[in-house]
Amino acid sequence: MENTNINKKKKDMGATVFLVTVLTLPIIAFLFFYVYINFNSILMAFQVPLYDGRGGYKWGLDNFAKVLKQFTNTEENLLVYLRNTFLFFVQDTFINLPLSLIICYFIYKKIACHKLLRVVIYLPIIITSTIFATLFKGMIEAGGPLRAIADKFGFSVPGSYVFNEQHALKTVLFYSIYANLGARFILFGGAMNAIDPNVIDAGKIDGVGPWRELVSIIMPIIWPTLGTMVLLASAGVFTASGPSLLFDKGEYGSMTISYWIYDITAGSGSSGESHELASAIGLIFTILGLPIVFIVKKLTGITEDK
Amino acid sequence: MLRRESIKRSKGERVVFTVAFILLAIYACFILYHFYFLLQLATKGDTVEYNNAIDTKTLATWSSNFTLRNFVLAFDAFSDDYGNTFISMTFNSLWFSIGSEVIVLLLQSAVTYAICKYEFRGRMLLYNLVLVRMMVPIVGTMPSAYRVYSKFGLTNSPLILLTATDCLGGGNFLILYAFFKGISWEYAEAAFIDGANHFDVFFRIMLRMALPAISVLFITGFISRWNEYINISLYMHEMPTLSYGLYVYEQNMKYAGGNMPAYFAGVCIAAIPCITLFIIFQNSIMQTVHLGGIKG
Repeated sequence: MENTNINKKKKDMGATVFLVTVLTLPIIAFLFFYVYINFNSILMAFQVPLYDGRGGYKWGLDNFAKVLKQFTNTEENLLVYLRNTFLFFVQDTFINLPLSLIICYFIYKKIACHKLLRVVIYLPIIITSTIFATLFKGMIEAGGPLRAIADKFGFSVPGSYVFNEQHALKTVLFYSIYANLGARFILFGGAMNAIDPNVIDAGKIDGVGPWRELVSIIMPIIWPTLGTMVLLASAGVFTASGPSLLFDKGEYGSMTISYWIYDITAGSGSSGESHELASAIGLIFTILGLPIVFIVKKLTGITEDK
Repeated sequence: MLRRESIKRSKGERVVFTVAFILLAIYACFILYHFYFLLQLATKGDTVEYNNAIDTKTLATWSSNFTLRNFVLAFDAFSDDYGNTFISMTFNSLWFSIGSEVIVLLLQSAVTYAICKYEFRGRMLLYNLVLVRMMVPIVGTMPSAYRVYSKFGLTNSPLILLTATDCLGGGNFLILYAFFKGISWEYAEAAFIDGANHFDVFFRIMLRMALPAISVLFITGFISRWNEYINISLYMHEMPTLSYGLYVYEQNMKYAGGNMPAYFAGVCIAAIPCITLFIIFQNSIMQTVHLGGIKG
């Protein structure tokens, strides 16, 4: 009945005017900001700057050859960047996502002081990372409380956790876990709050404990949300990164693929690392990432809801 | 009907919930300590005292020269190489955050509503484009975007707001799609009988009904834009927002010196809008948003 009515309206001239009005600008913007920029990125991957003072370039596969050379040469940095990217992906998908789900479960179950905890745990997400990271660094670096406690109890700490090749990556990884536990609160919270309370009550009557309640009742019900998040996280397998800019700027071992591309774009990449090379790297990892997304899509059973 | 309140937690559950509470409380204390520490830094007498506190490892103590003057000085202390001040950075944060979110939500809600409620040629193409865009893991278009934005004069200009018109994608689409899907078309039918046109139905009925979801998306989007720094550092570094401006000031202070306590006072002020918004709207934010556009 509803579809019939909608179809009637389809023929309506007013509907056509409405659709043209609301769709034109977003479609033009999509073509420009997404299609054109991506197309341009693909073209750039095949361009090699000539540095002739006139902005000239030649076409070729030099950028790809350079990337492949970095893959096969263990002394080059690309493999380290790739390893770091994978570590940040694991941190986000396999540590933060489950922890966030568990914390959200306890808040949904109205643990003591749940409203206060919800606000406080979400605070690092609300305030800008540039602020929270600065405070975090202040606490662990020179003059901060960690140093004062170390002095008081007589244990030694490194001169710096940030500007130190041994510790920089671990520090950024730890910060990424620590500051992002509340990152998925909104979507998990919304999904859990939409669960019919009678379903939860029925489980209770059957003597279901918290773990089984979460795994066997809540997770299947919120799977559209959870599965979508896992799927979207898998799409970020080669774009995962930590807030390196706010810590060591990647100079002491926390560099990732996406931060490296940012670094080159911002003009701080080393010589020989052109925008075109970054585009080639991006194209290669986009192609490598595609099958991963489709595999995860298959595994999660996520399908389009049309 | 059995009511939830009537079901008590078992002894085992109480133990689990107590342990969870203790762990979460410890974590929450750590987070709150950051802000306590921030106040200690922001109320130090001056930079000399601040530097002495680093040497004596007493940064995390209250100053003997405790002052709130830094909260006033913060407005004058900040400036960057392009002449931006704390006030102008705040202004940039406001127009960038509000402008971007108004544009993106207005267009996105209209597009999502059209795709959700109207049958037209290309509807499924648009819908699938949005999904594919979200799932295809495109890496490394930043250099291309930078060149295109620069070429068309979008960088370091309010024209950067034009990028917000690219609204065919993102999690908002799924949330709005789920919301519009839950609204019956009968409301529109009734309005058509009363003589309303399609614009009336969208703006006066559907948009109003979706207002709770749109408001939440506005607040979370505003917070996200207010806190943005990576894209600002590339495309708006000459007219920075507060978030990126504070980062630049902190970096400059490492080399050129500066009023550190005033910087931290500025940090306090910059955090106020987002924290206030969240505290006021936390219930709506946590309960209104449902991601339902892709389902298993």
